[in-house]
Amino acid sequence: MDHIAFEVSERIVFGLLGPNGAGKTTTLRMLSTVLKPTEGKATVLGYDILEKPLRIRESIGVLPEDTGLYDRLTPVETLIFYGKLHGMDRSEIMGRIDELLSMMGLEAKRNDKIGTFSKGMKQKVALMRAILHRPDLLFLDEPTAGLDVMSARDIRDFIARQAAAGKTVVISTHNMWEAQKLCQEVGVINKGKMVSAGTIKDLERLTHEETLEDIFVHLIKGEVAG
Amino acid sequence: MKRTGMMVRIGLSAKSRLAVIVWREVLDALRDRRTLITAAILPMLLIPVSINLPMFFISPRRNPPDIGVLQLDAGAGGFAALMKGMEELRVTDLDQGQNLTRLVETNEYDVVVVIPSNFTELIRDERKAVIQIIYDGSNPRSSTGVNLIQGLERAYAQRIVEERMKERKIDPELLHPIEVNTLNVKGISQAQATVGMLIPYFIGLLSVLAGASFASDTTAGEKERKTLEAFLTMPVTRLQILLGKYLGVVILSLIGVFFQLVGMSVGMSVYLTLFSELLGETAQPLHIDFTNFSVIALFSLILSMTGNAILMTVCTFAKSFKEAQQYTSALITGFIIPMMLIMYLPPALMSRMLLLPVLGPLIMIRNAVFNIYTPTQTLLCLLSSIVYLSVLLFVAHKTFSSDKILFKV
Repeated sequence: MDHIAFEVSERIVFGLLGPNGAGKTTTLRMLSTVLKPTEGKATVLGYDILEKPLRIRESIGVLPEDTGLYDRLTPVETLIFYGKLHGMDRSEIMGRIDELLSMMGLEAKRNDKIGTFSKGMKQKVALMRAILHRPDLLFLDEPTAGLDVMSARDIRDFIARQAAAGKTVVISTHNMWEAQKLCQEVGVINKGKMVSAGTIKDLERLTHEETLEDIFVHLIKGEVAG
Repeated sequence: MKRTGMMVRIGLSAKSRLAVIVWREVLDALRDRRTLITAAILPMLLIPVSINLPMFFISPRRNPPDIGVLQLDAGAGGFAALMKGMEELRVTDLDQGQNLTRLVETNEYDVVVVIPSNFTELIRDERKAVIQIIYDGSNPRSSTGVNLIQGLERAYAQRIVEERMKERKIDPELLHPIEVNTLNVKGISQAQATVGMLIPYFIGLLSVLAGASFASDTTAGEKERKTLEAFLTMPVTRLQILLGKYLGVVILSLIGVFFQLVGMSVGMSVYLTLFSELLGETAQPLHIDFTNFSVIALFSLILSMTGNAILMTVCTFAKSFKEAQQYTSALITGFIIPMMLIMYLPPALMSRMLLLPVLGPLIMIRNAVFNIYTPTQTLLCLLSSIVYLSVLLFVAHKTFSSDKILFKV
């Protein structure tokens, strides 16, 4: 990353857009305190990522690029494990598990090993893990990448519901249609630099383009030319 | 990014979170059928078989060597009768005219013994009689047969000499001008010493062998399956994650060691029951009292903890399970050096090596088996081991905390 600077408003869906290798995943990893920046400063929910990483992790939910689930555990065992790491007690975790399994339509699969699940089902379990502890802020890295139409739609509905419930959601994607549908604000990132950030209306005015895809191409080409 | 609120949870302590991480490590590993088979079931079945199956073929009592005897002297029945009377030999008379070397080469007989036509005459004339033995050195049954026949020959020759001396009215005791009285100061027989030296070797080797696959899986395996990143977004420190994983590996390797030791105990019991004649001297069991057993258990634990700390540090550098296994193979070869050394080091040198890592605990296990250690030695070895272990865990933590090593960024 190269001196990237941006701010995300509360209770919106913010889209981090960029071509492959632009630095979207690295940015999300730094903001979720998985990676430490070599220089610079960032605050998440008011906490410095270098000074208070544990406080940040208590209040965020993360969906990494890969679901990162243990194939030999069931969804219930997985959520008990992560819930306990979040300091939740068992009865609270069990109540939340019932609620989330019902929300994601996975009640019948509660005791099946995750290794037997489809990619879409795994993505849903990973999202359940991200919101298990009711975080205020979600970081979702390519949440619909590689999913079939139905699963992708379920995930987009889920993101929209989270935003409606007052959560702040930061997603990385290179699906412009999805970003246009979900995001109130976007940041276009290329070669580790933030090319431009703001509401989609702001970017339309800046580039004189009408669709997010055209805005994106305009900004990336401008960056390349510059 | 603006702050939208703060969540306060009064939940699990750091210790409990560590226990949660250990629980997941152990549960995940035990769910793996391959792990259960390789760490528990196979050792219990294969170790007894691997100890006893070769013995079955070597043991002359269970599987006597086939001896062909060509008796060219009809009057020399004494020596042949002695062989035939021995239950560890299966003796058959051969006819003249057969290619005797070929009989052994083709494994029709393990050994062929030729008693010359003038055998009785030479003995009677008090001249040297020569018995020809044809055997195959590449065949263990053949070598066993030769040893048994040579033993018989010595006994037979002794009997002849004693008879001749009696005829001359000479006391046969004249043949034994010196008698040696031995005093074994520690009361440990050679067989016990061998078993005692093998105990630290096996405990040391089994701890790293059992830990290697778990250490590879929990570090490089997690990287490869990309499960580590989600773990790192949890409100636990990398030190807690590392210690949880490490303790999980230690517990799993101890479970593995337990099953392998059970397999060895079963194997040795069968061995002592079926093949006690192979031990040469009377097999006396080693008596290890509770205190010595506790010392052995303590230093076995330290050995396992030290070996697994090294394994985990090295495996963290690997990108895949396969790469980690290549590292662990090299490390295990390295571990074997001190374990082999312990069997041959002079005792005087051992006491000076008590403070060395890996070697010190191995020496303490050996000394506890023989009950030849002092409380000061135990304390010094324990303290030095704790220091080494702390340094190793510090290095493991530094390695695990490096984004460059974990994510190759």
